[in-house]
Amino acid sequence: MTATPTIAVTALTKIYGTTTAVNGLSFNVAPGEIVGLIGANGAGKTSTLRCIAGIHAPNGGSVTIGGHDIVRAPVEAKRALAFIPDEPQLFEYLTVMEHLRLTGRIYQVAAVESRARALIDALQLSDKTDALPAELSRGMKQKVTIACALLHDPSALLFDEPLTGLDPLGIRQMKATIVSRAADGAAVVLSSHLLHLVEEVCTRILILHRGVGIADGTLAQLTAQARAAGAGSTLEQIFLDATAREHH
Amino acid sequence: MGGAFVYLTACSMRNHLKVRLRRLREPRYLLGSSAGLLYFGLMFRSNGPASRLFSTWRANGMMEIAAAAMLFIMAAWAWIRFRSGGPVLTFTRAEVAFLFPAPVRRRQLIHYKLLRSQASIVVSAAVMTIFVGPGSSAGAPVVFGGLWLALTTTGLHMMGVTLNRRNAADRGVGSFLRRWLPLALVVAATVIAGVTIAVDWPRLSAAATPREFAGELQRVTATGAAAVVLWPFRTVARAALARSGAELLAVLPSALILLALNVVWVVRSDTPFEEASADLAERLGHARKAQPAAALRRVGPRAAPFTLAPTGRIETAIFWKNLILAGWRSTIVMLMFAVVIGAVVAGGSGAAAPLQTAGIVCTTLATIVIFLGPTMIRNDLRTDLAYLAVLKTWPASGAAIVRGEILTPAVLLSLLSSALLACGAAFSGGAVLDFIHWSGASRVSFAVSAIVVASAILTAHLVVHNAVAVMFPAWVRIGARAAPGVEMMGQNMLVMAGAVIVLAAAVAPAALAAIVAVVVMHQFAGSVPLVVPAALFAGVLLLECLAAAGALGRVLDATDVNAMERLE
Repeated sequence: MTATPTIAVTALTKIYGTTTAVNGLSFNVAPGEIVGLIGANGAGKTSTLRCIAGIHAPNGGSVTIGGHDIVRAPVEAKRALAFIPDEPQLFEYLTVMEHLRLTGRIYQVAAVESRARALIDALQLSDKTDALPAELSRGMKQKVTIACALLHDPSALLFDEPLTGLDPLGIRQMKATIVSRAADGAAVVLSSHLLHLVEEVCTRILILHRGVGIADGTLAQLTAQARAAGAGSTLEQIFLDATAREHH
Repeated sequence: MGGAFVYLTACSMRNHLKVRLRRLREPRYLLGSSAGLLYFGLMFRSNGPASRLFSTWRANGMMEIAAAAMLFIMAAWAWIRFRSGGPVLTFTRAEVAFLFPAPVRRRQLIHYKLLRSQASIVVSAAVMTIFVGPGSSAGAPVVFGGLWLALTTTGLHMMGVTLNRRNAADRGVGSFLRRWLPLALVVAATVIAGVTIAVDWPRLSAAATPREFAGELQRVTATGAAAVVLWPFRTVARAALARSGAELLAVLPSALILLALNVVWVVRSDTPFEEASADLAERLGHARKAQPAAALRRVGPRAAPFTLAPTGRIETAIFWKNLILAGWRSTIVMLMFAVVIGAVVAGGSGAAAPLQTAGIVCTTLATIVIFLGPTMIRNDLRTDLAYLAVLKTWPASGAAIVRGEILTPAVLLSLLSSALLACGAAFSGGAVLDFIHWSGASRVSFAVSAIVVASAILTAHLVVHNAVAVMFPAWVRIGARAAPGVEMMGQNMLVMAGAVIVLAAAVAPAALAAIVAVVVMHQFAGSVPLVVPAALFAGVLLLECLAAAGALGRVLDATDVNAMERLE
């Protein structure tokens, strides 16, 4: 029996002017699942994530988070959600600890101080609690963003290009964070160009091409389909073959 | 949620203040702050020219009418302008990242914007109080209070218009209705005010003095339909112009009603602005160090001024690039506009006085361009040092880069000043130069000399400003982003003062050469064509500029990219 999806995307369509960025996309993400969105530039990955996060309004279809429609009940849906953008965006004049306190207040997190301290310790930011963003490296800013995202223990996590600009240690910690949150029952969607990341951490892969989902399944399922079609067995070969087929 | 927004605003303001105070440990910020505060203090205590002019206009009623008219035009323009995609509320990328995916209602985001807008409104009201204030600390709270009321009401109304227009677009209100209903209302209001004035024109035109005219105009527009149409604008204008407790109290009830109406209108909006605001935040974020204004306007590609040959001097390539970025077409349009206005004013009348007026206006504008143009047109190293890492990768000497960077503003400003000087000489009819009774030919000679000298001074002025940018980058605003704060204003004042001193020193040898030429020619030939010493002056000054550009190039070659990145 399939678990009730935390994230349900149904016939999602997003149009900018005359460009259709996402075209009737449907997929579900169950608790504990990590779905990797892969696709070329302009395939609709970020648009999909932004529609799920409620930043962009869909032109068609629906998105529900924990059963709440992101358009009709945005506040209820967003309570269960965290969105980590590709570039950390922090308030210029808030310290690290103040970012966490603010987030705690927005999401109504009880015992915010203890939770924030625990996250700060786990992400090795203990000596930076009073630092402003200008005093932090990019990796540290990304850690602050993650700490804020995890503070309210979201059941749905969205990562947009999570490894951008991180050093090897930061990459390892980020991968561990994604996997551990999924292990704790969160539904995770991440978009990335880095196929090895998707191959390593995702339990399911969704290939997007021009806003349309052209392949959806576990790596094993996609590999089997590719072999049946006479294509290669690595994710790179599967991705290139699938997008090339669609292109023609 | 209000608590979270108050927390965010209060912490941001407190930390911002801490950072600014900590910066005062650096001498440049301490000096800049001292200069800026001294300037503000003098402005507040001295009852300066702006304050005196303001008091005079206010006393004869012209200020209230002018302010009300300006507010009417602002509101009318906000309602009738129609842009593709519509206007949006501005949020930062951090606000988008934290607040948009958070469980925050749309109206709460609007509350937050209202709260944040108060920070800039309070600062604006305080600065305006200093510039146009009563000259004493006792009257300052009244002036500040009136200005705060006026700015808050105006800001709220503009936000309401923004949300209303987008709401109409998003709810599918027909394009025809969206575009023409506000226009119809604006036209109706304008017609009511215009007809009222036209009916009473005989009495208005009979006024002997501006004070009488203003009084009559106030009386005419204070009754009937015009009074109803103009009531909001006059109320806001009166609040802004209140200079005593009694004046402020008199206007307070109606001003508070207006404020309350606008507050209710704005906070009750439920316009889906998030997507457009997120898009704008991205564009502003990417354009932050380069062209934030362009990001707001969604500037499209600009036409190249000429076809760039694949080979040739690097200076030409930089000149070509900067011309495109400067919007050379708009500069030419501005130039032609100035010339045409002068010609129309002069030619339209045929009388001597308007011609002379046009000439004086052109000459005055030319003087402003010569002395203030180089501080305002910054399409040179003051913008491109933000991209020093890119410039360093180019196979070009620092000197060539400096020459190329200075070329664009030098050419544009020289063209502008030359056109204005030529118009000044042509239209003056002897008025500008009447005191020396020169013939037409002499006037031409004087105009040519002035053009040559002005172009050289402009170029030297630009070299000085670029030299400051290369040698003391911390003292200059690098990139197009406006640097706020009293310390930056003070720094700019100090830099401008320093630039004038250096410019004077640079001009001295050229002036000396010109004087020697005049003396020698007078000794041997008896008469001195003005063009000769002018050309000598310009030649010497331009040679100095070339030498300075070479020296600056060597400094640029030695400049560490990290130094610029640290500044950012």
